[in-house]
Amino acid sequence: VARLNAPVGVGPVPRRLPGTVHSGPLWQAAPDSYLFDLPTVGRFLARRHGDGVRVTVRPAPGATEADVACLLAGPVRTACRLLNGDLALHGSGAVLDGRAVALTGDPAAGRSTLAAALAVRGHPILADGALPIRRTGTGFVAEPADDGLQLWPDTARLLGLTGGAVIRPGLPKRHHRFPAAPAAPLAAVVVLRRWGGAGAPVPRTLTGVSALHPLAHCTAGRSLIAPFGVTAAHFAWCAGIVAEVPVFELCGDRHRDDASVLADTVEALVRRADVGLSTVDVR
Amino acid sequence: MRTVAAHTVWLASYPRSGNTWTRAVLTRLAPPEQPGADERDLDLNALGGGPIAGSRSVLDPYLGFASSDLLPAEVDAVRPACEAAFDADLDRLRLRKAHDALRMTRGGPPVVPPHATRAAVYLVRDPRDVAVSWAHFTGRSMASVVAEMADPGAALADTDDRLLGQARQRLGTWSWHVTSWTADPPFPVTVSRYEDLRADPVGGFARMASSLGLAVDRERVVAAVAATRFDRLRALEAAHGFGERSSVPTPFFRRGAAGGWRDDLPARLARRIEEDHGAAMTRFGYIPG
Repeated sequence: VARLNAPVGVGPVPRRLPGTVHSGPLWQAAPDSYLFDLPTVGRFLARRHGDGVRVTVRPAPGATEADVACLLAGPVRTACRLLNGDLALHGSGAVLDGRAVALTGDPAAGRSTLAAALAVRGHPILADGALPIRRTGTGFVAEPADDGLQLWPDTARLLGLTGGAVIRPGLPKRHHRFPAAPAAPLAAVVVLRRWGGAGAPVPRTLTGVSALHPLAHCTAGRSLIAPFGVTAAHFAWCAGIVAEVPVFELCGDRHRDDASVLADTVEALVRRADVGLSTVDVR
Repeated sequence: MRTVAAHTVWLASYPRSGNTWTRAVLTRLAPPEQPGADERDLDLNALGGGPIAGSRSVLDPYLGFASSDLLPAEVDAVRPACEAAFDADLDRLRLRKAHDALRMTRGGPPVVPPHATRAAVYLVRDPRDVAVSWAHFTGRSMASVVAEMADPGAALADTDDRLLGQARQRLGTWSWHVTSWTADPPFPVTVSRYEDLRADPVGGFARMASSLGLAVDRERVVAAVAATRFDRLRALEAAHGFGERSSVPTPFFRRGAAGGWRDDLPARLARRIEEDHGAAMTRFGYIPG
Protein backbone atom coordinates (compact mmCIF):
# COMPACT_ATOMS: atom_id res chain seq x y z
CA VAL A 1 0.00 0.00 0.00
CA ALA A 2 1.49 3.28 -1.15
CA ARG A 3 2.77 5.56 1.59
CA LEU A 4 1.51 3.52 4.53
CA ASN A 5 4.98 4.07 5.98
CA ALA A 6 4.78 0.83 7.92
CA PRO A 7 5.72 -2.74 7.03
CA VAL A 8 2.71 -4.99 6.51
CA GLY A 9 2.61 -8.74 7.09
CA VAL A 10 -0.05 -11.42 7.08
CA GLY A 11 -0.47 -13.32 10.33
CA PRO A 12 -2.67 -14.03 13.32
CA VAL A 13 -4.48 -11.06 14.84
CA PRO A 14 -6.32 -11.39 18.16
CA ARG A 15 -10.00 -10.57 18.46
CA ARG A 16 -9.34 -8.55 21.60
CA LEU A 17 -6.58 -6.01 22.00
CA PRO A 18 -4.78 -6.37 25.34
CA GLY A 19 -4.61 -3.13 27.30
CA THR A 20 -7.49 -1.51 25.41
CA VAL A 21 -8.25 1.94 26.83
CA HIS A 22 -10.82 3.04 24.28
CA SER A 23 -12.92 1.33 21.65
CA GLY A 24 -15.47 2.19 19.03
CA PRO A 25 -17.42 0.54 16.27
CA LEU A 26 -14.95 -1.82 14.55
CA TRP A 27 -11.86 -0.75 16.52
CA GLN A 28 -9.99 -0.99 19.81
CA ALA A 29 -7.09 1.22 20.88
CA ALA A 30 -4.34 0.80 23.47
CA PRO A 31 -1.56 3.34 24.05
CA ASP A 32 0.77 1.58 21.63
CA SER A 33 -1.55 -0.34 19.35
CA TYR A 34 -4.73 -0.36 17.31
CA LEU A 35 -6.96 -3.22 16.26
CA PHE A 36 -9.47 -2.84 13.45
CA ASP A 37 -11.99 -5.59 12.75
CA LEU A 38 -14.36 -5.57 9.80
CA PRO A 39 -15.71 -9.13 9.63
CA THR A 40 -16.21 -9.06 5.87
CA VAL A 41 -12.63 -7.88 5.17
CA GLY A 42 -10.42 -8.92 8.06
CA ARG A 43 -8.62 -7.92 11.23
CA PHE A 44 -5.76 -5.45 11.23
CA LEU A 45 -3.29 -4.83 14.05
CA ALA A 46 -0.99 -1.79 14.07
CA ARG A 47 1.55 -1.81 16.88
CA ARG A 48 4.30 0.64 17.76
CA HIS A 49 7.73 -0.95 18.25
CA GLY A 50 11.07 0.61 19.01
CA ASP A 51 11.81 1.02 15.33
CA GLY A 52 8.40 2.24 14.23
CA VAL A 53 4.92 0.89 13.58
CA ARG A 54 4.26 -2.54 12.09
CA VAL A 55 0.97 -3.82 10.71
CA THR A 56 -0.34 -7.38 10.74
CA VAL A 57 -3.35 -8.41 8.68
CA ARG A 58 -5.57 -11.45 8.97
CA PRO A 59 -7.77 -11.29 5.86
CA ALA A 60 -11.29 -12.69 6.12
CA PRO A 61 -12.23 -15.59 3.84
CA GLY A 62 -13.47 -14.14 0.59
CA ALA A 63 -11.89 -10.73 1.06
CA THR A 64 -10.03 -9.46 -1.99
CA GLU A 65 -6.65 -7.76 -2.05
CA ALA A 66 -8.48 -4.56 -2.99
CA ASP A 67 -10.75 -4.87 0.07
CA VAL A 68 -7.73 -5.23 2.33
CA ALA A 69 -5.79 -2.44 0.60
CA CYS A 70 -8.73 -0.05 0.94
CA LEU A 71 -8.89 -0.52 4.70
CA LEU A 72 -5.11 -0.37 5.03
CA ALA A 73 -5.14 2.97 3.21
CA GLY A 74 -8.00 4.29 5.34
CA PRO A 75 -8.36 3.62 9.06
CA VAL A 76 -5.13 1.64 9.45
CA ARG A 77 -3.00 4.32 7.80
CA THR A 78 -4.60 6.98 10.03
CA ALA A 79 -3.80 4.92 13.12
CA CYS A 80 -0.21 4.35 11.98
CA ARG A 81 0.28 8.08 11.54
CA LEU A 82 -1.06 8.84 14.99
CA LEU A 83 1.01 6.07 16.59
CA ASN A 84 4.00 7.87 15.08
CA GLY A 85 2.75 11.17 16.53
CA ASP A 86 1.89 12.63 13.11
CA LEU A 87 -1.35 14.55 12.65
CA ALA A 88 -3.53 14.99 9.60
CA LEU A 89 -6.76 16.69 8.62
CA HIS A 90 -9.62 14.68 7.14
CA GLY A 91 -9.95 15.71 3.56
CA SER A 92 -7.83 16.50 0.57
CA GLY A 93 -4.95 18.78 -0.32
CA ALA A 94 -3.67 20.45 -3.45
CA VAL A 95 -0.80 22.76 -4.29
CA LEU A 96 -1.42 26.03 -6.08
CA ASP A 97 1.65 27.93 -7.23
CA GLY A 98 3.81 26.19 -4.67
CA ARG A 99 1.42 26.77 -1.79
CA ALA A 100 -0.76 24.11 -0.22
CA VAL A 101 -4.45 24.34 0.56
CA ALA A 102 -6.15 21.88 2.90
CA LEU A 103 -9.75 21.03 2.00
CA THR A 104 -11.53 19.65 5.05
CA GLY A 105 -15.09 19.67 6.42
CA ASP A 106 -18.14 17.50 6.84
CA PRO A 107 -18.51 14.06 5.25
CA ALA A 108 -19.90 14.38 1.71
CA ALA A 109 -19.15 18.12 1.72
CA GLY A 110 -17.31 17.78 -1.58
CA ARG A 111 -13.66 17.76 -0.46
CA SER A 112 -12.50 15.28 -3.10
CA THR A 113 -14.71 16.89 -5.73
CA LEU A 114 -13.16 20.29 -5.10
CA ALA A 115 -9.67 18.79 -5.12
CA ALA A 116 -10.49 17.16 -8.46
CA ALA A 117 -11.76 20.45 -9.84
CA LEU A 118 -8.43 21.99 -8.86
CA ALA A 119 -6.49 19.02 -10.28
CA VAL A 120 -8.08 19.26 -13.73
CA ARG A 121 -6.95 22.91 -13.76
CA GLY A 122 -3.40 21.66 -13.38
CA HIS A 123 -2.89 21.98 -9.64
CA PRO A 124 -1.12 18.86 -8.33
CA ILE A 125 -2.59 16.78 -5.55
CA LEU A 126 -1.17 16.14 -2.09
CA ALA A 127 -3.68 13.83 -0.50
CA ASP A 128 -7.19 12.44 -0.50
CA GLY A 129 -8.86 11.18 2.67
CA ALA A 130 -6.35 12.66 5.10
CA LEU A 131 -3.78 15.42 4.59
CA PRO A 132 -0.70 15.18 6.86
CA ILE A 133 0.36 18.57 8.19
CA ARG A 134 3.65 18.97 10.01
CA ARG A 135 5.04 21.92 11.94
CA THR A 136 8.54 22.85 10.76
CA GLY A 137 10.98 25.57 11.71
CA THR A 138 9.51 27.79 9.01
CA GLY A 139 5.83 27.09 9.56
CA PHE A 140 3.25 24.42 8.77
CA VAL A 141 3.91 22.18 5.79
CA ALA A 142 1.38 19.93 4.07
CA GLU A 143 2.89 16.62 3.04
CA PRO A 144 2.12 14.29 0.15
CA ALA A 145 0.13 11.15 0.89
CA ASP A 146 -1.66 10.10 -2.31
CA ASP A 147 -1.25 10.25 -6.06
CA GLY A 148 -4.90 10.54 -6.94
CA LEU A 149 -8.46 11.08 -5.80
CA GLN A 150 -11.40 8.80 -5.06
CA LEU A 151 -14.31 10.11 -7.11
CA TRP A 152 -17.94 9.06 -7.48
CA PRO A 153 -19.43 8.70 -10.95
CA ASP A 154 -21.29 12.04 -10.81
CA THR A 155 -18.08 13.93 -10.08
CA ALA A 156 -16.10 12.09 -12.74
CA ARG A 157 -18.83 12.88 -15.24
CA LEU A 158 -18.94 16.53 -14.20
CA LEU A 159 -15.20 16.89 -14.72
CA GLY A 160 -15.05 14.84 -17.92
CA LEU A 161 -13.02 12.03 -16.38
CA THR A 162 -13.33 8.45 -17.56
CA GLY A 163 -12.02 5.12 -16.34
CA GLY A 164 -10.42 5.08 -12.93
CA ALA A 165 -9.25 2.10 -10.88
CA VAL A 166 -11.53 -0.07 -8.75
CA ILE A 167 -11.05 0.71 -5.05
CA ARG A 168 -13.12 -2.16 -3.66
CA PRO A 169 -15.32 -4.53 -5.62
CA GLY A 170 -18.85 -3.29 -5.05
CA LEU A 171 -17.88 0.33 -4.40
CA PRO A 172 -18.92 2.66 -7.21
CA LYS A 173 -16.26 5.27 -6.53
CA ARG A 174 -13.03 4.99 -8.50
CA HIS A 175 -9.43 6.04 -7.98
CA HIS A 176 -8.38 8.66 -10.55
CA ARG A 177 -4.68 9.33 -10.80
CA PHE A 178 -3.45 12.95 -10.91
CA PRO A 179 0.01 14.53 -10.80
CA ALA A 180 1.29 14.41 -7.24
CA ALA A 181 2.75 17.43 -5.52
CA PRO A 182 5.77 17.56 -3.22
CA ALA A 183 5.40 18.94 0.31
CA ALA A 184 4.44 22.61 0.33
CA PRO A 185 3.90 25.35 2.89
CA LEU A 186 0.30 25.44 4.08
CA ALA A 187 -1.27 28.66 2.79
CA ALA A 188 -4.91 28.11 3.77
CA VAL A 189 -7.35 25.69 5.34
CA VAL A 190 -10.80 25.60 3.78
CA VAL A 191 -13.59 24.04 5.83
CA LEU A 192 -16.29 22.92 3.41
CA ARG A 193 -19.96 22.79 4.30
CA ARG A 194 -22.75 21.69 2.04
CA TRP A 195 -26.48 21.93 2.49
CA GLY A 196 -29.65 22.56 0.56
CA GLY A 197 -30.59 26.17 -0.08
CA ALA A 198 -27.14 27.66 0.33
CA GLY A 199 -26.55 30.74 -1.77
CA ALA A 200 -23.50 31.43 -3.90
CA PRO A 201 -20.40 30.24 -2.04
CA VAL A 202 -18.74 33.09 -0.16
CA PRO A 203 -15.76 32.37 2.08
CA ARG A 204 -16.04 33.33 5.70
CA THR A 205 -12.88 33.85 7.72
CA LEU A 206 -12.77 31.76 10.89
CA THR A 207 -10.67 32.88 13.82
CA GLY A 208 -10.09 31.78 17.40
CA VAL A 209 -12.41 29.12 18.72
CA SER A 210 -14.55 29.20 15.58
CA ALA A 211 -11.47 28.04 13.65
CA LEU A 212 -10.09 25.77 16.35
CA HIS A 213 -13.29 23.74 16.65
CA PRO A 214 -13.53 22.56 13.04
CA LEU A 215 -9.82 21.75 12.95
CA ALA A 216 -10.11 19.63 16.08
CA HIS A 217 -13.31 18.04 14.80
CA CYS A 218 -11.84 17.29 11.37
CA THR A 219 -8.59 15.81 12.62
CA ALA A 220 -8.12 12.37 11.10
CA GLY A 221 -8.54 9.62 13.70
CA ARG A 222 -9.90 12.04 16.31
CA SER A 223 -11.10 9.23 18.56
CA LEU A 224 -7.57 7.79 18.73
CA ILE A 225 -5.88 10.98 19.92
CA ALA A 226 -6.51 10.44 23.63
CA PRO A 227 -5.72 6.69 23.74
CA PHE A 228 -2.48 7.25 21.84
CA GLY A 229 -1.46 10.02 24.25
CA VAL A 230 -1.18 12.85 21.74
CA THR A 231 -3.86 15.14 23.19
CA ALA A 232 -1.49 17.95 24.12
CA ALA A 233 0.35 17.72 20.81
CA HIS A 234 -2.97 17.78 18.98
CA PHE A 235 -4.13 20.90 20.78
CA ALA A 236 -0.83 22.65 20.08
CA TRP A 237 -1.07 21.61 16.42
CA CYS A 238 -4.61 22.95 16.02
CA ALA A 239 -3.82 26.16 17.88
CA GLY A 240 -0.65 26.66 15.86
CA ILE A 241 -2.49 26.28 12.56
CA VAL A 242 -5.17 28.74 13.68
CA ALA A 243 -2.48 31.23 14.71
CA GLU A 244 -0.38 30.95 11.57
CA VAL A 245 -2.62 29.86 8.69
CA PRO A 246 -5.85 31.50 7.45
CA VAL A 247 -8.88 29.28 8.00
CA PHE A 248 -12.02 29.78 5.92
CA GLU A 249 -15.46 28.29 5.88
CA LEU A 250 -16.94 27.81 2.43
CA CYS A 251 -20.54 26.69 2.06
CA GLY A 252 -21.78 25.12 -1.15
CA ASP A 253 -25.22 23.96 -2.21
CA ARG A 254 -25.60 20.19 -2.17
CA HIS A 255 -28.10 20.38 -5.01
CA ARG A 256 -25.86 22.38 -7.30
CA ASP A 257 -22.76 21.37 -9.24
CA ASP A 258 -20.72 24.32 -8.05
CA ALA A 259 -17.26 22.72 -8.04
CA SER A 260 -16.01 25.19 -10.62
CA VAL A 261 -17.18 28.20 -8.61
CA LEU A 262 -15.66 26.71 -5.46
CA ALA A 263 -12.38 26.12 -7.30
CA ASP A 264 -12.36 29.75 -8.46
CA THR A 265 -12.85 30.84 -4.86
CA VAL A 266 -10.09 28.60 -3.51
CA GLU A 267 -7.66 29.80 -6.19
CA ALA A 268 -8.40 33.38 -5.18
CA LEU A 269 -8.02 32.57 -1.48
CA VAL A 270 -4.62 30.95 -1.91
CA ARG A 271 -3.40 33.56 -4.38
CA ARG A 272 -4.12 36.34 -1.94
CA ALA A 273 -3.42 34.51 1.30
CA ASP A 274 -0.29 36.53 1.99
CA VAL A 275 -1.64 40.05 1.46
CA GLY A 276 -4.00 40.50 4.37
CA LEU A 277 -7.00 38.27 3.89
CA SER A 278 -9.29 40.16 6.19
CA THR A 279 -9.19 43.14 3.81
CA VAL A 280 -9.40 41.24 0.55
CA ASP A 281 -12.63 40.71 -1.30
CA VAL A 282 -12.21 37.29 -2.82
CA ARG A 283 -15.69 36.91 -4.23
CA MET B 1 -21.89 -1.77 31.06
CA ARG B 2 -23.87 1.36 30.40
CA THR B 3 -25.01 3.09 33.60
CA VAL B 4 -26.22 6.45 32.26
CA ALA B 5 -29.69 6.86 30.79
CA ALA B 6 -29.81 7.36 27.05
CA HIS B 7 -30.38 10.88 25.75
CA THR B 8 -31.69 10.09 22.27
CA VAL B 9 -35.37 10.39 21.41
CA TRP B 10 -36.14 9.26 17.88
CA LEU B 11 -38.79 11.10 15.93
CA ALA B 12 -39.57 8.40 13.43
CA SER B 13 -41.84 8.42 10.44
CA TYR B 14 -42.21 7.50 6.83
CA PRO B 15 -41.06 10.57 4.84
CA ARG B 16 -43.48 13.50 4.53
CA SER B 17 -45.49 12.54 7.60
CA GLY B 18 -45.01 15.65 9.72
CA ASN B 19 -41.64 14.74 11.19
CA THR B 20 -39.98 18.13 10.74
CA TRP B 21 -42.97 20.05 12.05
CA THR B 22 -43.09 17.80 15.12
CA ARG B 23 -39.36 18.22 15.64
CA ALA B 24 -39.80 21.99 15.44
CA VAL B 25 -42.52 21.98 18.10
CA LEU B 26 -40.64 19.62 20.42
CA THR B 27 -37.47 21.65 19.98
CA ARG B 28 -39.44 24.60 21.39
CA LEU B 29 -40.70 22.43 24.24
CA ALA B 30 -37.38 20.88 25.21
CA PRO B 31 -35.34 22.72 27.83
CA PRO B 32 -33.53 25.57 26.01
CA GLU B 33 -29.83 24.99 25.43
CA GLN B 34 -29.13 28.61 26.32
CA PRO B 35 -31.13 31.11 28.36
CA GLY B 36 -33.41 33.15 26.14
CA ALA B 37 -33.37 30.65 23.28
CA ASP B 38 -37.15 30.40 23.56
CA GLU B 39 -37.56 33.99 22.49
CA ARG B 40 -35.47 33.72 19.39
CA ASP B 41 -36.64 32.55 15.96
CA LEU B 42 -36.46 28.84 15.43
CA ASP B 43 -33.31 27.68 13.63
CA LEU B 44 -34.65 25.25 11.04
CA ASN B 45 -31.17 23.88 10.47
CA ALA B 46 -30.61 22.90 14.08
CA LEU B 47 -33.91 21.25 14.97
CA GLY B 48 -33.59 18.86 17.86
CA GLY B 49 -29.85 19.20 18.01
CA GLY B 50 -28.92 16.01 16.27
CA PRO B 51 -28.50 14.67 12.75
CA ILE B 52 -30.86 12.20 11.09
CA ALA B 53 -30.33 8.50 11.74
CA GLY B 54 -27.84 7.30 9.15
CA SER B 55 -26.06 10.63 8.78
CA ARG B 56 -22.44 10.23 7.80
CA SER B 57 -21.66 13.03 10.26
CA VAL B 58 -22.41 10.45 12.96
CA LEU B 59 -20.92 7.43 11.21
CA ASP B 60 -17.57 8.74 10.03
CA PRO B 61 -16.22 10.25 13.27
CA TYR B 62 -17.01 7.14 15.28
CA LEU B 63 -15.70 4.78 12.63
CA GLY B 64 -12.56 6.89 12.32
CA PHE B 65 -12.66 6.73 8.53
CA ALA B 66 -14.99 7.42 5.64
CA SER B 67 -18.10 5.26 5.75
CA SER B 68 -18.05 5.54 1.96
CA ASP B 69 -15.24 2.94 2.08
CA LEU B 70 -17.83 0.42 3.28
CA LEU B 71 -20.39 -1.50 1.24
CA PRO B 72 -24.05 -0.71 2.02
CA ALA B 73 -24.56 -3.95 3.97
CA GLU B 74 -21.44 -3.22 6.04
CA VAL B 75 -22.79 0.25 6.82
CA ASP B 76 -26.13 -1.23 7.84
CA ALA B 77 -24.35 -3.58 10.23
CA VAL B 78 -22.28 -0.90 11.92
CA ARG B 79 -24.90 1.85 12.16
CA PRO B 80 -26.38 0.85 15.55
CA ALA B 81 -22.93 0.86 17.15
CA CYS B 82 -22.19 4.32 15.75
CA GLU B 83 -25.54 5.65 16.95
CA ALA B 84 -24.87 4.19 20.40
CA ALA B 85 -21.45 5.84 20.50
CA PHE B 86 -23.02 9.15 19.51
CA ASP B 87 -25.60 8.83 22.27
CA ALA B 88 -22.93 7.99 24.85
CA ASP B 89 -21.28 11.35 24.15
CA LEU B 90 -24.49 13.33 24.70
CA ASP B 91 -25.11 15.27 27.88
CA ARG B 92 -28.70 16.34 27.18
CA LEU B 93 -31.83 15.24 25.39
CA ARG B 94 -31.56 15.09 21.60
CA LEU B 95 -34.53 14.77 19.29
CA ARG B 96 -33.34 12.99 16.17
CA LYS B 97 -35.21 12.27 12.98
CA ALA B 98 -35.36 8.72 11.66
CA HIS B 99 -36.89 7.63 8.36
CA ASP B 100 -35.72 4.02 8.38
CA ALA B 101 -38.08 1.19 9.12
CA LEU B 102 -37.13 0.07 12.62
CA ARG B 103 -36.47 -3.47 11.40
CA MET B 104 -36.49 -5.05 7.97
CA THR B 105 -37.81 -8.42 9.11
CA ARG B 106 -39.93 -9.57 12.03
CA GLY B 107 -37.52 -10.14 14.89
CA GLY B 108 -34.64 -8.72 12.87
CA PRO B 109 -32.12 -6.33 14.38
CA PRO B 110 -33.36 -2.77 14.96
CA VAL B 111 -31.62 -0.05 12.97
CA VAL B 112 -31.25 2.12 16.06
CA PRO B 113 -29.79 0.71 19.28
CA PRO B 114 -32.43 0.03 21.97
CA HIS B 115 -29.91 0.39 24.81
CA ALA B 116 -29.00 3.88 23.56
CA THR B 117 -32.56 5.04 22.99
CA ARG B 118 -34.63 6.79 25.63
CA ALA B 119 -37.86 6.68 23.67
CA ALA B 120 -39.36 7.31 20.27
CA VAL B 121 -42.28 9.15 18.79
CA TYR B 122 -43.74 7.52 15.70
CA LEU B 123 -45.81 9.71 13.42
CA VAL B 124 -48.28 8.10 11.11
CA ARG B 125 -50.06 9.99 8.32
CA ASP B 126 -52.72 8.98 5.83
CA PRO B 127 -50.64 7.35 3.07
CA ARG B 128 -52.77 9.04 0.43
CA ASP B 129 -51.57 12.43 1.75
CA VAL B 130 -48.05 11.07 2.07
CA ALA B 131 -48.08 10.11 -1.61
CA VAL B 132 -49.14 13.59 -2.73
CA SER B 133 -46.57 15.33 -0.53
CA TRP B 134 -43.78 12.89 -1.46
CA ALA B 135 -44.45 13.40 -5.16
CA HIS B 136 -44.29 17.19 -4.80
CA PHE B 137 -41.15 16.97 -2.67
CA THR B 138 -39.25 14.73 -5.06
CA GLY B 139 -40.64 16.08 -8.32
CA ARG B 140 -41.77 12.57 -9.30
CA SER B 141 -45.08 11.33 -10.59
CA MET B 142 -47.68 10.27 -8.06
CA ALA B 143 -47.89 6.87 -9.74
CA SER B 144 -44.21 6.20 -9.18
CA VAL B 145 -44.44 7.30 -5.55
CA VAL B 146 -47.47 5.08 -4.96
CA ALA B 147 -45.56 2.16 -6.46
CA GLU B 148 -42.56 2.90 -4.25
CA MET B 149 -44.77 2.92 -1.15
CA ALA B 150 -45.64 -0.71 -1.95
CA ASP B 151 -42.05 -1.75 -2.73
CA PRO B 152 -40.39 -3.85 0.03
CA GLY B 153 -36.99 -2.73 -1.29
CA ALA B 154 -37.69 1.00 -1.10
CA ALA B 155 -34.93 3.05 0.48
CA LEU B 156 -33.71 6.61 0.82
CA ALA B 157 -30.21 7.75 -0.15
CA ASP B 158 -29.75 4.55 -2.12
CA THR B 159 -27.62 5.56 -5.08
CA ASP B 160 -24.49 4.28 -6.78
CA ASP B 161 -23.90 7.56 -8.57
CA ARG B 162 -22.92 10.05 -5.90
CA LEU B 163 -21.86 10.35 -2.31
CA LEU B 164 -24.66 11.62 -0.12
CA GLY B 165 -24.41 12.94 3.41
CA GLN B 166 -26.67 10.12 4.57
CA ALA B 167 -26.17 6.41 4.28
CA ARG B 168 -28.91 4.22 2.82
CA GLN B 169 -32.10 4.20 4.87
CA ARG B 170 -34.37 1.26 4.15
CA LEU B 171 -38.07 2.06 4.28
CA GLY B 172 -39.76 -1.11 3.10
CA THR B 173 -43.40 -0.64 2.23
CA TRP B 174 -45.48 2.02 3.97
CA SER B 175 -47.40 -0.72 5.77
CA TRP B 176 -44.21 -2.45 6.90
CA HIS B 177 -42.74 0.86 8.05
CA VAL B 178 -45.73 1.52 10.29
CA THR B 179 -45.72 -2.03 11.62
CA SER B 180 -41.99 -2.08 12.31
CA TRP B 181 -42.22 0.91 14.66
CA THR B 182 -45.55 0.19 16.32
CA ALA B 183 -45.70 -3.60 16.84
CA ASP B 184 -43.72 -4.66 19.90
CA PRO B 185 -40.92 -2.07 19.74
CA PRO B 186 -37.89 -2.62 22.01
CA PHE B 187 -38.25 0.79 23.68
CA PRO B 188 -41.18 3.07 24.56
CA VAL B 189 -42.84 4.44 21.44
CA THR B 190 -45.53 7.13 21.47
CA VAL B 191 -47.64 6.79 18.34
CA SER B 192 -49.34 9.93 17.03
CA ARG B 193 -51.47 10.46 13.98
CA TYR B 194 -50.50 13.53 11.99
CA GLU B 195 -54.17 14.33 11.43
CA ASP B 196 -54.84 14.40 15.18
CA LEU B 197 -51.92 16.73 15.75
CA ARG B 198 -53.19 19.09 13.05
CA ALA B 199 -56.68 19.04 14.54
CA ASP B 200 -55.57 19.67 18.13
CA PRO B 201 -51.90 20.62 18.15
CA VAL B 202 -51.85 21.97 21.68
CA GLY B 203 -53.47 18.90 23.20
CA GLY B 204 -51.52 16.49 21.02
CA PHE B 205 -48.11 18.00 21.65
CA ALA B 206 -48.83 18.40 25.37
CA ARG B 207 -49.51 14.67 25.56
CA MET B 208 -46.46 13.90 23.45
CA ALA B 209 -44.22 16.07 25.61
CA SER B 210 -45.60 14.46 28.75
CA SER B 211 -44.90 10.98 27.35
CA LEU B 212 -41.29 12.03 26.80
CA GLY B 213 -40.93 13.38 30.32
CA LEU B 214 -40.74 17.02 29.23
CA ALA B 215 -42.21 19.19 31.97
CA VAL B 216 -44.17 21.84 30.08
CA ASP B 217 -47.21 23.92 30.92
CA ARG B 218 -50.04 24.69 28.54
CA GLU B 219 -48.84 28.25 27.87
CA ARG B 220 -45.51 26.95 26.64
CA VAL B 221 -47.21 24.47 24.31
CA VAL B 222 -49.48 27.21 22.95
CA ALA B 223 -46.42 29.39 22.29
CA ALA B 224 -44.53 26.52 20.64
CA VAL B 225 -47.43 25.70 18.36
CA ALA B 226 -47.82 29.37 17.43
CA ALA B 227 -44.09 29.69 16.69
CA THR B 228 -44.22 26.69 14.34
CA ARG B 229 -47.31 27.46 12.31
CA PHE B 230 -46.79 26.44 8.67
CA ASP B 231 -46.79 30.04 7.46
CA ARG B 232 -43.99 30.79 9.93
CA LEU B 233 -41.98 27.74 8.94
CA ARG B 234 -42.41 28.68 5.28
CA ALA B 235 -41.23 32.23 6.04
CA LEU B 236 -38.18 30.92 7.92
CA GLU B 237 -37.36 28.61 5.02
CA ALA B 238 -37.68 31.49 2.54
CA ALA B 239 -35.51 33.77 4.68
CA HIS B 240 -32.76 31.40 5.78
CA GLY B 241 -32.98 28.33 3.55
CA PHE B 242 -33.41 24.80 4.82
CA GLY B 243 -30.76 22.16 4.49
CA GLU B 244 -33.29 19.33 4.25
CA ARG B 245 -35.03 20.57 1.15
CA SER B 246 -34.82 18.41 -1.96
CA SER B 247 -33.28 19.28 -5.31
CA VAL B 248 -36.73 20.20 -6.60
CA PRO B 249 -37.27 23.97 -6.43
CA THR B 250 -40.38 23.75 -4.26
CA PRO B 251 -40.56 24.70 -0.60
CA PHE B 252 -39.97 21.95 1.96
CA PHE B 253 -42.98 23.22 3.90
CA ARG B 254 -45.75 22.99 1.30
CA ARG B 255 -49.31 22.80 2.68
CA GLY B 256 -49.20 20.52 5.66
CA ALA B 257 -52.90 19.89 5.20
CA ALA B 258 -54.72 16.77 6.29
CA GLY B 259 -56.98 15.23 3.65
CA GLY B 260 -55.58 17.22 0.74
CA TRP B 261 -55.30 13.99 -1.25
CA ARG B 262 -59.00 14.31 -2.08
CA ASP B 263 -58.13 17.26 -4.32
CA ASP B 264 -54.80 16.09 -5.69
CA LEU B 265 -54.61 12.29 -5.88
CA PRO B 266 -56.24 10.54 -8.86
CA ALA B 267 -58.96 8.14 -7.71
CA ARG B 268 -57.24 5.10 -9.21
CA LEU B 269 -54.10 5.82 -7.19
CA ALA B 270 -56.11 6.34 -4.02
CA ARG B 271 -57.71 2.93 -4.62
CA ARG B 272 -54.29 1.38 -5.24
CA ILE B 273 -53.03 2.70 -1.89
CA GLU B 274 -56.11 1.40 -0.12
CA GLU B 275 -55.59 -2.04 -1.69
CA ASP B 276 -51.85 -2.09 -0.91
CA HIS B 277 -52.12 -0.87 2.68
CA GLY B 278 -55.67 -1.69 3.72
CA ALA B 279 -54.86 -3.48 6.96
CA ALA B 280 -52.57 -0.76 8.32
CA MET B 281 -54.91 2.01 7.10
CA THR B 282 -57.82 0.37 8.89
CA ARG B 283 -55.76 0.00 12.03
CA PHE B 284 -55.14 3.74 12.12
CA GLY B 285 -58.64 4.73 11.09
CA TYR B 286 -57.93 5.95 7.57
CA ILE B 287 -60.43 3.57 6.00
CA PRO B 288 -63.28 1.69 7.64
CA GLY B 289 -62.65 -1.86 8.71
